[in-house]
Amino acid sequence: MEPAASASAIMEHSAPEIADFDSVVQLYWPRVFRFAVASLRDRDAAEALTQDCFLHACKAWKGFRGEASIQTWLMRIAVNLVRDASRNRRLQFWKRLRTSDSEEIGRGVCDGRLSPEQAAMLQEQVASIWRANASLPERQKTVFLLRFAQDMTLLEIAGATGLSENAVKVHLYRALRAVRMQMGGSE
Amino acid sequence: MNSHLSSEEMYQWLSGERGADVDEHFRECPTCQTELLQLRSALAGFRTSLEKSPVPSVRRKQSRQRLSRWVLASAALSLMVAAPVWWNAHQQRAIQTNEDQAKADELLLDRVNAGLSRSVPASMEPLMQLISREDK
Repeated sequence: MEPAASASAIMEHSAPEIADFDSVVQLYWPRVFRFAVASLRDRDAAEALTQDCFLHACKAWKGFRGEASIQTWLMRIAVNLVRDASRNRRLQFWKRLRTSDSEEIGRGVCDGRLSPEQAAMLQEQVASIWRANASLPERQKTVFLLRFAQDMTLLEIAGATGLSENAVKVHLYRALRAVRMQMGGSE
Repeated sequence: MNSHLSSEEMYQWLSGERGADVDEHFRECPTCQTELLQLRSALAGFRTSLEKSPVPSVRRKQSRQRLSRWVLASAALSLMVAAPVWWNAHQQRAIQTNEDQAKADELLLDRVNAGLSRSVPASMEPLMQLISREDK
């Protein structure tokens, strides 16, 4: 659960004006974990990665000058860790064995306002997006998740990934095309 | 009105880059509107599904790790203390058992020797006592 208190205040700050690193951890832990679990599709690996991310962040906290927002800075660390983890062959092995984590996540979508038919259709569409996400190349997946799971702007994504804004757009459009095709649409 | 929005225009719209032309087309074209809204709704559902998934707690994980580390350390320490004590007790018990066994063996041997050193069988002994009394 994300702590509501002081959340918006922290998000608005780009410099490390918040003396208490613990507040940063409390606020951004769920976001980093969700990005990690959607990228790796393995809850245990995602939890370990999230801990590593905050460990790196804690060590670098005093040197953080605030050129980017805290979210962009943390996501840059997380993106690098995900990239390293994806290259780890042992993790790839576990990833092949454990594909159920993302399927589990994809279940809790519907709210009570939808009819059963609409709910079933939405469930199927969300499942299609998870399937498409699983098969996306690494950069497309990262950009797609930062935009549609983390709600980051194209500029923030460029800051977190080290890509140019145009490159971000290209990866995002390709990812959206794959998602749309998986959902049964045309290119 | 022009034909429908191109894929790139749709992706631009979904990515948050909304030009006036695309917005106008979106308002006036029910086909594009339906498709874009459906895509946007599915993407929102994707985000919701991720947000609804449980997130492991920071503190609980750390305390569990700390606890398990303490449990392991305590177990190792207990083992280090208990092992010599147990070994000592085990050795003492073995020595005691050996001593008891030696005493039992000695007793048995005495009984056998006593049996062998008799001049007459045990059942004849009362008769032999009677004879020796008459001789006197």
